[in-house]
Amino acid sequence: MLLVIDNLSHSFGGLAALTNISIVVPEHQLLGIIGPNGSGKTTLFNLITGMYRASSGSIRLKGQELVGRAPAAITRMAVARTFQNIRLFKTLSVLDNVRIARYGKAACGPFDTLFRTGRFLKEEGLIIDQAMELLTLFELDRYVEAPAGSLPYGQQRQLEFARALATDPVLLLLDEPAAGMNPYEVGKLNEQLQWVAKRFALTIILIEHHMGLVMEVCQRVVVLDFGVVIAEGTPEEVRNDPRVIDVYLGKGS
Amino acid sequence: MSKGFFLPLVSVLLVSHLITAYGLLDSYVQLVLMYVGINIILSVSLNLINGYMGEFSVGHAGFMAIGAYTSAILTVRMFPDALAPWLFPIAVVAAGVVTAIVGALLAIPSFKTRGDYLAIVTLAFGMIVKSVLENMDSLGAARGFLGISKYTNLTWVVFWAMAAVWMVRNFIYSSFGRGVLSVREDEIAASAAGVNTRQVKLFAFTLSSFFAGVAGALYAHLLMFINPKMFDLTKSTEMLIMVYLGGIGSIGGSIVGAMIYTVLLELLRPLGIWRMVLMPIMLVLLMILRPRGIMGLSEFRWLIPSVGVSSKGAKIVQDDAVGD
Ligand SMILES: Nc1ncnc2c1ncn2[C@@H]1O[C@H](COP(=O)(O)OP(=O)(O)OP(=O)(O)O)[C@@H](O)[C@H]1O
Ligand SMILES: [Mg+2]
Repeated sequence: MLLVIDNLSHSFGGLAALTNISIVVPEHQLLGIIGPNGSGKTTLFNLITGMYRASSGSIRLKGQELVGRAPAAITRMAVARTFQNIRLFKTLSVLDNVRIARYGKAACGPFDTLFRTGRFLKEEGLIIDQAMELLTLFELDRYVEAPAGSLPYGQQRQLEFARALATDPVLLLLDEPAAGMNPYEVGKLNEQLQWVAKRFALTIILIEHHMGLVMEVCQRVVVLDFGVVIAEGTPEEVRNDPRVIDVYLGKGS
Repeated sequence: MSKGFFLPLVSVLLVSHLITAYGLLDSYVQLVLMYVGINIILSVSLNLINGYMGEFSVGHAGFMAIGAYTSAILTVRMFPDALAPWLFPIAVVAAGVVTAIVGALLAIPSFKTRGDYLAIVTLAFGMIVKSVLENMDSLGAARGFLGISKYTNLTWVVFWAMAAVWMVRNFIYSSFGRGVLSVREDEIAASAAGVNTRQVKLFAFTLSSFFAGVAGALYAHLLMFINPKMFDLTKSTEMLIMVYLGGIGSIGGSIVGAMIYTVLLELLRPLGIWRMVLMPIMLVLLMILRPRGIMGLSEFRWLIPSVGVSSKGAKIVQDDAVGD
């Protein structure tokens, strides 16, 4: 098992955002997480990535506890994420946005950096190559020097995706990547998710309101409601689960 | 070292050495040039915090004071008189190192606080340094520290100004530097991208204070006299003026800002006390007419390392001499 979430709970003051969540994710799975607004999906991502410290319970990646670690340390353990509301470094260039994500992989210390040694230049060249490769893959290579904030919305999502991949993740958390996309773009995202997962040998957890996408892409789906897992199974099973239809699908989402 | 930097560096150093050795320039002009150089070191290093990191430090004069006093203690009290002129470079480096250690400590509050709160911390820091110095009788207290020899010359100032520009630029165009920029843009996204935010803040504060300490050491051995009042809030404000005049987030801006400010201050000397009124008025005007400063976030081409992306976008140029 790649990720084992065990009895995880989190509350904000008096509000219980998540209660005794247990989810197990095997390697190379695409797991979908669905649930109504405010059901705790994003909170789960924030706990896994160390943005919040879980009130109780544990999150283990390959046996190593994540709870209590700093976000950057968790990223270095090969967990990457995108944000529900895109968070790019808006005034920095597209290239820099991706290069920054190589921070945890850079081996040069203060000395090599300040004196710009041969070793440093070599590493810089490598970082540029890696960043350009990703940008080309995501068809963003035309924009390398443009400020990230100047890109159209769809490209900003792509850039955030590329930035997440630049950290060399094994586990990728995507928070509503299809939000604001038209059906054509959702179709493209669908294809992209599948080949990216293969090419980078990723395990993906996908939060998504777009049911069509979840049903097609994910091998397994977890349904949250008021911070509790109310159903879990294959897309087929979940779709036909009366509780799910009641709390979620039934509400016309 | 990149080819683009090495040649100008050596030739400028050579010229300043000839000027120093043979008195090729009027000594007053030399003095102004030295002020310019020291102010470049101060504004470039302050820009690291206020421009690139996006914080607002108003305690830079405190760092300068620590460097000034550390170096003065070394050359006046610790080094044997006969060797002091030769050991001066060591005193300057030591002043930088001691200041850098204090700067690293001041980075700790920046882990938790940002913006206004951190500005208050740096303000308090500057006041603490000044009042500690005012109360240390062994360092001359408010009367000041006397008997410092004039070891600073144009060659040293030029050397350190170039070192500051070169190293701060090397820092900015590196993983650490991009980390600093990412923290300024969005600290949460930065940490999610794997940036060790504490590490970059620590590095930025340490580097910035190192050079402020160096500037203090050069200043002390140029004036041959220092007292705590020289390093009060007015001094920090002067540095802020240079940084914002030139443009935040631009090394070139800091160089230009320091030059213009220092030279103008000298030209306006006949106005006496009125120049201290005129300067702030000019700054206010500049902020209204050109809010981003003279350079406004842009950079001189020669300061941008050639490991980068060509203007066409897709092709990568890498002119720097790489080992393989
Ligand atoms: N930082 C916070 N402080 C206080 N309450 C919070 C915080 N973050 C989330 N919450 C609350 O926790 C609950 C779960 O929020 P969360 O953002 O995880 O929902 P979600 O499932 O992602 O919803 P959506 O589909 O709208 O994105 C909500 O009631 C929300 O108001
Ligand atoms: Mg959410």
